[in-house]
Amino acid sequence: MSDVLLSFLIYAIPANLIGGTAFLSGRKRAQMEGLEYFAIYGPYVAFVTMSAGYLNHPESLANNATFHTFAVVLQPIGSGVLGGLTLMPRLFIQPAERLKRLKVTAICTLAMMAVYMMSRLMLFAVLGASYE
Amino acid sequence: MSGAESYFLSFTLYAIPANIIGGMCFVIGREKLGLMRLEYFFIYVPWLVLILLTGGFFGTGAMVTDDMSLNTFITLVQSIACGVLGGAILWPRFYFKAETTNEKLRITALSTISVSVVYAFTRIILFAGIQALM
Repeated sequence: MSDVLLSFLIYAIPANLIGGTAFLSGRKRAQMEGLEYFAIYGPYVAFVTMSAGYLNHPESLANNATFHTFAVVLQPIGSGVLGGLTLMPRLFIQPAERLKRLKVTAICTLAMMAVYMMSRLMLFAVLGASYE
Repeated sequence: MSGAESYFLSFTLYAIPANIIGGMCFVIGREKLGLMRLEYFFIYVPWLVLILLTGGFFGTGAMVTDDMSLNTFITLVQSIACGVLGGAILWPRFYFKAETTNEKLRITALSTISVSVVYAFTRIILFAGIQALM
């Protein structure tokens, strides 16, 4: 199984546990639409971007089992928890217009991606430097 | 920034996202779910994990060393990201029905432990790597 697929599957577990619950109850309470469900995968994009930027030779990760497990198994879980939280503010802020609702979701997704990227930037830099 | 000053700064920066997210949950949950005031203090538990991790890796005297960029990264950036997770602690209380005080505290305690564990295991190699850099 490729690392990208594995990390996506592991990401999807906490993201759907937390974000899926928020989405299901938000369908009734906060008029969420199907499009907004995909916002929970925003931090995964950030995760893949940072992995590709710093660990751009995925095969080199396989040489070190500890770092490999850490980057492919543990990091997607931490990222998935943030991803699940993306839909949380939508339950509290419920504008009447459709565009404003989408705007709230978009800002939350960007904020979560930014939080994920800024807190993991140095982690990936350290991991990337340790392969050279 | 050194010693008590950086702990204070770190706590202040932690409290901003934690109170934006967790405080919103708390204020809404007071009416809807009967959140107790005691449960508000659970949102500060991930900060203790951050302090334990930095204390374990960098010593307890000051949060980090003199290196300005590493100091800023840990004191400012990590505290903000930790606060986002800390604000999420009251979140599962909205979905799990709890009537008695015991059940309420059990759900909050379980979510506190899970969030703290998620924070600790995703940052442990980060702190180990930064310690190796110094």
